[in-house]
Parts: sequence; structure tokens; C-alpha cells
Amino acid sequence: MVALRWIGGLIAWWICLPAAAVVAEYVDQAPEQPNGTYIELGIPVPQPVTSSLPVAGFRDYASVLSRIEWLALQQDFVTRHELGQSGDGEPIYALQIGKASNVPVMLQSGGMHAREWASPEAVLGIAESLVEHANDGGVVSWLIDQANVVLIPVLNPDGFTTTQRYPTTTRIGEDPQNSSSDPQYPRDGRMRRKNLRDTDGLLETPGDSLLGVDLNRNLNPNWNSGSGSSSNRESIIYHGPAAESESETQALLSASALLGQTHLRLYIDTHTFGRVFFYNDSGNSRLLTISRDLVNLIRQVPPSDYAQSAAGYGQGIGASDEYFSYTLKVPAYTLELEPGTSQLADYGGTPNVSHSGFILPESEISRVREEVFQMALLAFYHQMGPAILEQVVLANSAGTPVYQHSWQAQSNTARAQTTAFNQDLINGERYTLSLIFNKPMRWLNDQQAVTNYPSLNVTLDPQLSLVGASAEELPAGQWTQTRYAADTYTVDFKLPAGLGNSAVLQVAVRDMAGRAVDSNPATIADWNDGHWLRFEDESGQSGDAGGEDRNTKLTIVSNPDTTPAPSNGGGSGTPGLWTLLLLSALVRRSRNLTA
Amino acid sequence: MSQATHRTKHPAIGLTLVSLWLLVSSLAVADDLDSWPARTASDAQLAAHLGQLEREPASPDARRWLEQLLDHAESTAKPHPEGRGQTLPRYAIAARAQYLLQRWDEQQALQQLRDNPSLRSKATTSRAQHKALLHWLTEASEQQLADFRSQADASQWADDILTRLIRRQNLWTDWLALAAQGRQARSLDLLMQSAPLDHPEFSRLLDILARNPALGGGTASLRARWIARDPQRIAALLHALETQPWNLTQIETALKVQPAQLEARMSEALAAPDKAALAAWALWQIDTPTARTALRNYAQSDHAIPHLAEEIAAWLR
Repeated sequence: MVALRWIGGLIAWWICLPAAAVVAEYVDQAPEQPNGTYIELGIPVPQPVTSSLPVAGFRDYASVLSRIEWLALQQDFVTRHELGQSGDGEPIYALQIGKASNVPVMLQSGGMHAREWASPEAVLGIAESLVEHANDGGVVSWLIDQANVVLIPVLNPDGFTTTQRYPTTTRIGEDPQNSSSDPQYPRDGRMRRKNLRDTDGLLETPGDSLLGVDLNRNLNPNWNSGSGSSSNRESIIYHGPAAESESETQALLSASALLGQTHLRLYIDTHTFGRVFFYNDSGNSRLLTISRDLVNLIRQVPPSDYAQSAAGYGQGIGASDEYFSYTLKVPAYTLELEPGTSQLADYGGTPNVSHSGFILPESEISRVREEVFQMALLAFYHQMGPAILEQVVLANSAGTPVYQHSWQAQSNTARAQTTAFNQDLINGERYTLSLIFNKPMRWLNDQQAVTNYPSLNVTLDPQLSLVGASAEELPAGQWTQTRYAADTYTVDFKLPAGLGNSAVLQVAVRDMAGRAVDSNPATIADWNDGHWLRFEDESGQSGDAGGEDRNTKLTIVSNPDTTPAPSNGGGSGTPGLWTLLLLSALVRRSRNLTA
Repeated sequence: MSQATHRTKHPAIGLTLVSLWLLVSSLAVADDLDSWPARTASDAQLAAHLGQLEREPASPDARRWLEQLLDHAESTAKPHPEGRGQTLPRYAIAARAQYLLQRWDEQQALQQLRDNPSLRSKATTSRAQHKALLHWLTEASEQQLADFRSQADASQWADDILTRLIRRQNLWTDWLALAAQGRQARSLDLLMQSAPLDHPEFSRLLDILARNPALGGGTASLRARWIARDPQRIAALLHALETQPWNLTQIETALKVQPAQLEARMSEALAAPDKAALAAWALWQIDTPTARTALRNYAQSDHAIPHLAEEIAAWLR
């Protein structure tokens, strides 16, 4: 027995010896008579493609740059920013989509880890899709008008260009920490993860292959926390010589401050692989709840759900999402794209191949770009803040407004309600009610029909009730456009009897992301300290969920034969003006008929 | 291409010991695993038995064992087992088992394709059959390929089938099909490397490729190669730049062809509001002192589009 243990120990020692340094080739299928070291993936091995426009593949870095430049020149709402330079002096660029000042900012980065080629494609794809849909008249138009989206496609250009210089080549078997558990551990060439600190990006010496800093272990507040990162310069998760020591990290911090950190509402760092969103409990319970609710919303957008996983408080590793959640107090995620942990087996490739999940098949990237855009757009929409019912208009069967109120901003924190008309309503009369919201409330499909956002299930019609002496539900109406597609809900109804002399309109509606409206538009909701401010429910309680709008108070005349007097029918309207408008409309109609 | 740089030499006795250990281990676990479910077996024991099966031909018993292993793995799976602290996943034994089953399926499918010609035209419906078909395409005779073509629906062929056929027979119709049906950028690379640029209908292939939603964005390089071979085509490109509205692919093509006076034409085009953005982009790609001067002059001029002037000024800083 002792001898057996001795032999076992000897074998274990032999296995733990540093493995040989080997340069290996990634191939679809290894040749029958191998004359080198091959790693068989079972899928065609992607090569960088020269194309400014997106294709079913991974663009080379020069093409990525030329695409960024063209997007910035093509549209006046796109701006290219140089955030800083890499360790080798390569500029690091961000694209700003949107031109407005002092509006919410959404930040998404990519290309932090060099070998994760799907990441730059996905982040650049968001910019391309926003530009492509800029004139949709709906969610994207509104977002570009009302927000700034900052996108960093390639945060680690030195590492990224190294992987593209060796698209099918890697060095394997050299890792001092992992070679015993994974003898095919690849470190450089196509499989470089880190930046190029202290290395030359060539595959000539084993030492070079091991060096560099893992940028996603280089940030405060959990830098060098003792778990999940390493002080060993040769480790794949080396955290760098000091917190935020790397110029690439500084570029990311510059991006966070580019348009004012107080405006930041969301951060997503895009990686591969695992099909999972990572986020943190940063000790702020409301931020954690909001982050969890948001990720549960967006991870179900693709046909196949992403997983989610929150690290406990203080269990950080120095990753970028921790900086944004702990320090800047916004929902922050590390998004690990496809494949899942089955790696290339998900696409019919060879399973059990070390690290093959970093090599996404070309045939998948167009779909991944689209899915990431859909997830990001929903997250941006959600973090823009709650909807308010900005204007209510009630017109009688002749089209004459009898009631109208609207909310106008008076300062950064308050709105005032203006009531233009407030005439008595008449039992039994027909009316048209228009509810105008401050943002698009529904998604339009390719046929421009109102529908749910992909994979969501929000009740499309608001629930509308008139509550007086009795409560009466209004019938369903339809979504129409005032400023943006589906920002207005219009319903025709006959005023029921039995409500008494007054009634309150109760509007229960959820926005495209399924969130209730701000019940009190008099106070302007904002984001601060990891939660929403001045976002009230119908009882006036401020929180992160909202409630119903009950700000429309109507007076009713019970006798259907009573017509309000034109001059002072109980309202503050100007009937003379409406008579003029009606006459004007009749004249225009008559002109149209004779044209 | 590859080179092995063995850094450490192990004594021969090491290899002998390892072989001996693997043999003993596999024998030791055999009894446990033959009477599946061997729920108490360790990962190392399961892996050793798998290694044994990988060296053997398929058999009903072995298949049953692998399927039971997969069922067991599925029933005991935990959601996302790779914690964040574990940067890189380890590779599940279940994946190896799955792969072995797939490999046996492929071998079986290949034999069926060899034995039964009627199956060949329908062999794209499963992964095993598809892979087997790819293998068969490399070994089939010319007559067998002709029969296959006559029976199959070519509009359903994926990139890899077309690529195999092109490598075997290099038919023009296959090139056209690849341009129309290709779904992977590596097909663009094959077109760039090997497409018959001198074919009289090559411009038709380019037009088909441009309409392909998966590959159309990458047409510029191939079109530029084709244009650069003929002065008449270069003249036609310049004429199109003079007379037609511009788009990104057209300007990218021109940049790759590099016709004479392109830089001057782009500098002049800065004055045309509908061409200024693409002209500025082209001059930025050309990136010569003259091009930069043209951009600087434009950005400082009164007729510059404000957004372009701002962007260019920022770039030149």
C-alpha cells in the first residue's frame, strides 16, 4: 500500500512538471499523418476578414478602425473619442452615439481580453445597429435623442492585434499554475488574454507568452483582494503591479467620466465565453435588487437564455464591473457571450478541446451581434428611467377637447401641471381619450405592428378605469404616435352612467420593459447612489417600482340633456378659439375635397 | 508552420510508469463500470474507462454505457458550475462521451453513404450525416459526384459542401452557389484566393455576392482584385465615381484599386455635400500629408458640414 502511494506520488510529480513549450495549430480536422502539433476544433477556424461592413466573420483590426471612423463621419449624432493609448501607444477609441447634453449615459466595453473575438464584433455591432435604426421613429430614435451611448469596441488593441497576427497558432503547455490540470493550456498567439506589458507580442520565447496584465483584475476597489487574481507576473490572471496601473484601464476610467460620471446609468463589459451575466453585491441592497431585476429582464431576450450569477459583497477580484457597481453605483455586468460551457460542442465542434470556447464559429457571429444588440437596447431603455403619463387629452365626439393636462419641467427636479381645458363630461356621450407618454411604450415589429419586445410578455393594452361613485373599465384602444412610435394610447369610449359627479382616471400601464410608470410626474425621477430618486407609486411612496397614474380628475354632468354653456361651462377652456379651429378645419377639408 | 520546442526531457521510465498506471487503473475500474450506474466512480475512473472505449470500435454495450453516463451527467448537472473565480472551465467527461458517440455515428453514417447512394442527396439533415458526406465527397469518383449532383438540391448546400466540391471539380456553378449561399467569411477567403477572376461572367458573381446578407459587406476586396486586372474596368470604376451616388463599398473598392488621381478626386469631392463624408473617410484612409492637408483645409473652410468639420478637426489634433 505504501509502495503504491509512493508510485502514485511519483506519477503526480511527473505530471506536475512544467510541460514542454509547444507551438500548436488550430485546425478543423487534423491530418492523417500529422507533422506538427494540431488542435482539432471540428469547425472551420476563423481568420480575420478585411471588410469595413459587418460580415459573417470577424473583422481585422484595421477594418474595425475604419468602420469606427466611417460611423463617426457618416452621422452627426456619432462622435469618435480617443480615450487614451495602450501600452504600445495604440489609440483606444470610443464611439458616442447621441448628442444631447446632461442626459443619461450608457457605457459598454469590449475587447478587454484579446482572444475573445466575439466581443469587439458585438460592441461594434451595437453601434452599427443603433445607426442603422436611428430613423425608426421609435425606441432607437428616442434613445439617440435622449441619451448618450458610449461604446468601446477594443479596449486592449495590443493584445487583440497579437491574436489576429496568429489566428490559428498558439503556444500551449507552459502555464506554471494550470498545466497539471490542463496540459493543453494555451497562452499566447490566438489565445493571448492579457495586454502586452513586458512582452513583444511575438511567439518566440516562452517568457513572453506568460507575461502581460489581466486588465480585468486591475481595478479598484477589489484589486489584489487575494482571491481570483494573482501577484505572479506569469499568471493568466496577473493583476498588475498596482491598482489601475495599465494605460488600458485608465482609458476605461476616462470613458466613465467622458460625459460626466453623475450621468452614468449602466455599464456592461463584454467578454466570452459561458453565456452568463456576472454582477456584484456591492453592499447597496437597492442597487443589487435593480441589477438582479434588470439582468433577469435582458438575459431572456435571446431565444436561449443566459445564466446570471452575483458575487457576494467583498468577494471581488479587481474586475471592471466591480468598479462600476461599488464605486459609481450603477448596474454593472460582465457579459460572457457564447458559447456556453460546452464550448464548440454547442455548434457541432469537437468537445473536450481546451479553451475552444474562445473560438466562436464564423457562422454564429451575425446572430450573436443581433442578440447582443437586442439585450443592450432593452437594458439602455430600462436605465433611461421610468415613463410618465406626460399629457392627457379628452375630446368629445366632435373632436373638441374637453379636458387636457400636461406636465412641463420647471427645474431638474420638478414639473408643473398645466390644465388647458376642464369641461364637464356628459353621461352617455362618446369621447376619445389620448394618453401621451414621455417615451415609446411599445416595440414595433418589422411590419410596424405593436408587439412585445423579443421574449418579453408585457400586457400590450393599459388597464384604464374611471373611478367615481362606481368603477368602470374603459375598452381597449390602440397605440399611436405623437413624437415617437407607440408613445400614445388612444381609446374611444362612451361615458358610463353611475360614476356620480366626478371620477378619477386610473391608468395601470407598464412600459416596454415591463416597469410601471412614475405615479407622481410633479417630481422628476433621477438616478442617484444606486437607486431611483423621486420615483413614486400611487400612494406617494418613493421607490424603484412605480405605480399607477391617477392624476386625471374629471367632473361629470349627470343629466345627458344638459350642454355646458359655451362661455363658462365649468371649465377653463376657450370655446371661441375652438370654434375658430373647427371652422378652419372645415375650410381645409373643403379645400382638400375640391383639390 | 509548426515547430515543437521541447523544453523538458522526461526519463523513459516516466512513460513506462504512466502506461502501467493507466492500465492498472482501467482494469481496476472495469468491474465497477460494467455494472452501471457506477455512481460512486470518481471522475478519474470514468475518464480512464472512457479512454479505453476511445481505443475500441463501437459496440452496443459501449454505446449503452456512454448513454447511461450522459443520462447520469444530465441528472446531476448543476447550473453554470464554473464559478467566477475559476477563470477557465475544465472539460466535462460528458463532453468526451458525447464526442465518442458522435464519432461512431459519423463512421456508421459514412459506411451507409458508401453502401447506399440514395442516402447521399439527403445527408445534410444531421450532423453525423453531414460530416460523413464531407468525407465521402473527398473519396467519391467523378461518376459518383455526377450522380450526387443530379439527385441533390444544390440550393441547400452549405459552405463546406460547396468548398469540397470546388476543390474536387472547380465548376463555375459551384462558385456562383458559394457567392449566393455562403454563410461564413472563410468562403470570402476562398473566393479571394481561388475564384476564377477571368471567367467572362465574373461580374455576375460579384453582384450575387453583394446581395448575400452574410458576405455581401465584404465584396470590396474581391471586386477590387477583379477591377485591377483590366484598365477598362478601372476606367469604368472612375466613371461610376463621377456619375453615380457613392456608397461605402464603392469607395472601399476604389481605395483598394488605387486608380491614378484618386486622392485628387477625393479632395475635390469634399466640396460636394452628398460626397463629403465618404471623401473625408477615404482621405483619412489614404493618410498622406497631402490628404491630411486637404482634410485640414476642408475643416477650416466656410462650406464644411459642421459635424464633419468638428470630427476632422478632432482627428487632426
